[in-house]
Amino acid sequence: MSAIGDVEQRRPFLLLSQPRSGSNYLSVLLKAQRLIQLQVEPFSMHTSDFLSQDLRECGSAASALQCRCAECFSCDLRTWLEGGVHRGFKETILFEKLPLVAAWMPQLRVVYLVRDHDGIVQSHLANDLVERWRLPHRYVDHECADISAAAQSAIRDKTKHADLVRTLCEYREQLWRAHATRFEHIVVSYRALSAEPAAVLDVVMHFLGLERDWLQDLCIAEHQFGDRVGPYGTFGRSQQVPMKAVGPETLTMTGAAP
Amino acid sequence: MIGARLSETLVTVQQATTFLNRVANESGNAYRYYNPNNPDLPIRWNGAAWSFAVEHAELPAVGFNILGAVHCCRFLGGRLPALQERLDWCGPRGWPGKVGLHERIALHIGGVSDRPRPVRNSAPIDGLYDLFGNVAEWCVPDENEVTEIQFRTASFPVVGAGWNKDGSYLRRRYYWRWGRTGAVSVGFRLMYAG
Repeated sequence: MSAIGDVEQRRPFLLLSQPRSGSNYLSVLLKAQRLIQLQVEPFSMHTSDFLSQDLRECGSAASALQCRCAECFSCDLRTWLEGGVHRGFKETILFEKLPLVAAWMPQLRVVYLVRDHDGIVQSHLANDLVERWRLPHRYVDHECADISAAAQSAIRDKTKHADLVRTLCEYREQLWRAHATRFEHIVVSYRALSAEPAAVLDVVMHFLGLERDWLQDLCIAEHQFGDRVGPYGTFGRSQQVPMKAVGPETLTMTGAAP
Repeated sequence: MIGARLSETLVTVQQATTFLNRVANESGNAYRYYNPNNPDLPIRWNGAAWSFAVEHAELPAVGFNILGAVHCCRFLGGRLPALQERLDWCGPRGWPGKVGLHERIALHIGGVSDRPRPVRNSAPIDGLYDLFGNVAEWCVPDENEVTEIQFRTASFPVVGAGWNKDGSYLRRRYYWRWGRTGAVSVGFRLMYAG
């Protein structure tokens, strides 16, 4: 391995997407490659404030990402990510905190998985996630007036749940567009991933400096043709329904060095 | 190791809670051994002690990082198996001799359950319960102790596939996880000295 190749392979990556955008499926495909080590939602599931303060400025989250104590969870995560090759993590939060993330780890590469907002809304409604995740109450006092108003409406009227999810989608998308250039990144369409998983995976693997291997091919085949062994959900919701692919068809690559 | 044996099933929520409550420096937000930040995990901090719902007592303990698994095993009178010991027990292909991939997938609960199931809930294979897909299992790379530095910075082997993993994990003898992570689908079992 050349020195340049070694440096590239040691650059960690973040698989970022909005919730219900197929990131569990893509993370399963990536983890099937034997050289990749990918942590699923370390900030969401292993810290106390990142999830509860999603889409908000949060002092404790900022402190965690600015910390250099070498003892806390975020310092350990950074050390682990930087301590090997082909290491990364997946998150569906962090949109508000992207500038902090860029400062936390300037060399981080981002695979951004994008799904059309109709599909995200449909997935939330089909799984009753607005209620289960208490989204109206979580965002009712949000500083963004549109989000706060949508949350208030959703508390009063369940038929407004879709509007809240759509408002959150648009807000996250704005944040991503505002901060995407802080990272070297690639944008992957969920629809393209569903239609041509091998081709899309090839592009992602190329971005990560790897090649698709046979275990990933098996994963794709299982997902497409076989009995679905594995819920592709963090907690394996029993009433999960297959996600439908509608919306943007494009697979785009965008590079921006920090 | 001559005479050493694996416990027939996984460490349970009840056993692990006893361990947590006897370890002085593990409180609700310490995250030294166990992830307290995931509300879906069955062991909860009530402000004074660790507790669990009675119906969860026989679930396998998950949410423990590698250091928690190491110390819990020691507390329970054994140790965490080394990777090669765990694989040796299961035969040269990483699984008990005559169990093929098709049978492993048939026994795997991924996609069927949305939670781990209680231990000993299916027939044993070569004397061991819960080999296929209830939860995966932490191992240490060799028989040496896990140091604090390794725990924070290294990856450790995990054998098997958890309830939220797809069948592709059953084709792999083991995979690697960051030792600091108390994952929802990774438990552990004891190795007893002979």
